[in-house]
Amino acid sequence: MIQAHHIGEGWKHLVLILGAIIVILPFYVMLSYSFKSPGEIDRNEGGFFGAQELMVDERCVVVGGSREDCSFLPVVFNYSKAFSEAPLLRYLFNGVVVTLSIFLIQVIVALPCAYALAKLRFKGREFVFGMVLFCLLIPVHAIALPLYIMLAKVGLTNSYAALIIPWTISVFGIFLMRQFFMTVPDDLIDAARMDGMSELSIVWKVMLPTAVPALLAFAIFSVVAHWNDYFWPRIVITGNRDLFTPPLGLREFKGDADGSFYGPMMATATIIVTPLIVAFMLAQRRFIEGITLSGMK
Amino acid sequence: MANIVLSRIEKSFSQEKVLKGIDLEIRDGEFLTLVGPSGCGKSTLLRIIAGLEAQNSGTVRIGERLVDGVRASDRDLAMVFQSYALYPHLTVKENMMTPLRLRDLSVAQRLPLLGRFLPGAAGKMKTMSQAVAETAEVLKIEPLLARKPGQLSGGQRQRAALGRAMVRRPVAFLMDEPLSNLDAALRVHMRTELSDLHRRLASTFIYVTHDQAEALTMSTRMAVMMGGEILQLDTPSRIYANPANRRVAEFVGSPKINLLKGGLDSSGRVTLFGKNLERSVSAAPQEITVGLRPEHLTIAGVAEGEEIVTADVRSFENLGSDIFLHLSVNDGRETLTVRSDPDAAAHLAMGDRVRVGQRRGAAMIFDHAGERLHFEEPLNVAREVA
Repeated sequence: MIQAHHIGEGWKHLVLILGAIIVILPFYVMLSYSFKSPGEIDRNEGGFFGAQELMVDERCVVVGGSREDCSFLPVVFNYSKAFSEAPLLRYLFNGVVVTLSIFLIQVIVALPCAYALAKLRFKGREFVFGMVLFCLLIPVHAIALPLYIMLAKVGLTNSYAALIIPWTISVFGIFLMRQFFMTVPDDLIDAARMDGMSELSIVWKVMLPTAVPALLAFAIFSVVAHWNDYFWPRIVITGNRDLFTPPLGLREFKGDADGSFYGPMMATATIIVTPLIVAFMLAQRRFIEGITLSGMK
Repeated sequence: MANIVLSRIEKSFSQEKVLKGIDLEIRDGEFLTLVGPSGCGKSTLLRIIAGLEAQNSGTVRIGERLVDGVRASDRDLAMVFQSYALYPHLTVKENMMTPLRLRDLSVAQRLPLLGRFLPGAAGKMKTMSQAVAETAEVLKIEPLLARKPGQLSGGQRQRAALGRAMVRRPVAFLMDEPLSNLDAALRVHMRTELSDLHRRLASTFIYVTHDQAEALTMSTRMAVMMGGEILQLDTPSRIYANPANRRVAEFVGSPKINLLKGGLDSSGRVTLFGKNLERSVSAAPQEITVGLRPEHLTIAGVAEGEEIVTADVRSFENLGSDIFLHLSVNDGRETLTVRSDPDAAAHLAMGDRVRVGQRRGAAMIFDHAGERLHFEEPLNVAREVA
């Protein structure tokens, strides 16, 4: 019996481990390549860290540097190239501005909407909510072209606005917050009304603090989606490299005539995903703690 | 301080009429309970008084002021909710401060960080803190002021919610089943506390409950509501002793009143179990219901021939001070509950046959429609054994 039980457990773990490997492998490759020299990447040798022998940057020599000046540890070379080849800091800054603006405006729009849909009684509420659900079904790519044309007509392409405006109304955010607000007891809202709060201050002072866990979930969804988005910035940012977001920055390392530049490219990729992973780790605890409604029931 | 007058209040949700023309005057300083089974419209009525719900027709007057269309917060009422409805992210003190901040501070003074430095803000904050401290002292919740609702027990949350209502010194307190979420022992304890609080504050309390015991123990007057109407409005003792109709009689009192089939002969004499009760009412012969409360009946010292019926013991309900006997009459076609001394019931066993006699007080007679019929005159007043 006991043995059969152990075998059953073993299978479970085996399946989970396989799943984990499939998910982690690309990250492993990314991290490993960001440490290695081009030669090691080409020949697929050197293990995870590579041998870290001094390597010579041929391009640096071509431009006229001495061989000593152009010798680097592969890891130093990759990461310094990531920052020098393209203005990566500028891209990261753009990424922060864009994702935070999007999230902030999404919250400003979604919370009052969700509150109205969840807690206020008005004619046509169910219809409006139906429309919200309907909008969830429209894929971004289907409306990308009309959106682009509209932005182009008002002359907003190649600006932060073009990166931000199309995402300010998050149907998913409205839906998610509405579902959460449905669980907030009506008594709490009535109590706030008796205390003299206006409907808007109920949204910001009562609903928002109780909705922190849901808001965090939405924040992760929103920030990850827009930080990693390649499609939309690629469409509306056509010329001005100062407005590139981090994923666009990756293109700087794509294969040119003299071969692909995998090391620095993977170093850039590592730098781009790090903030997300750190943010998630920090938010994770709050996620679980949250402000529960336990005080209510 | 003011009385609250409701006239012809009607309310319907979609097709259903929840309140059917309620007229009610709540006197200044009284503890008025709206009591009734769930769905009778009592909470809706309270919410209409509070201004959280708008009536379809009729008026609400607080003192001299007609408050229809006046916002809930401007009616100068405070409400305590069943779920307490404390703000979960604020401490007890901040919870209690909230209504004061919103009422006494200007918009600018309420600004975070900056607001407290504006002229006048510091003084107001001080009076507000003082008000909170005084209320906390009355309710004995000073040690809890820094805690959040999640860290409080049910009874403590109840007090904090009361505190939030009290700091405003409203003209009236509205309470919507505030004790329902507490355990039984605490509920009984809080009844006395609420009564004490009412006496101390000398303020108007409007209290909604489905528990007739809460209504009986605390109210100055109670309004029994059913099906969107007030069936009877009177003091608890008068409603208990003198219910206006069968539904009120059934609702008030625990265990329930015994309702027995009886008859009226052509001269209006009441018969029960084929015996004559020696009392008469002026009504046409019909099927009537005779109501006898469990304490109106006895099994002790009933001589043969004196009993109103003989019955079989079906079960005992021992409360320590009393024993409620559940009896079956006529081979189980009717049941009877009798309140008895533990001593008198000690020798009884399941299935024993007992003689049931009337102990004191009079039976209540209800006609076929459930309305009360009053006895014409007290005919040679029935055995006051007591």
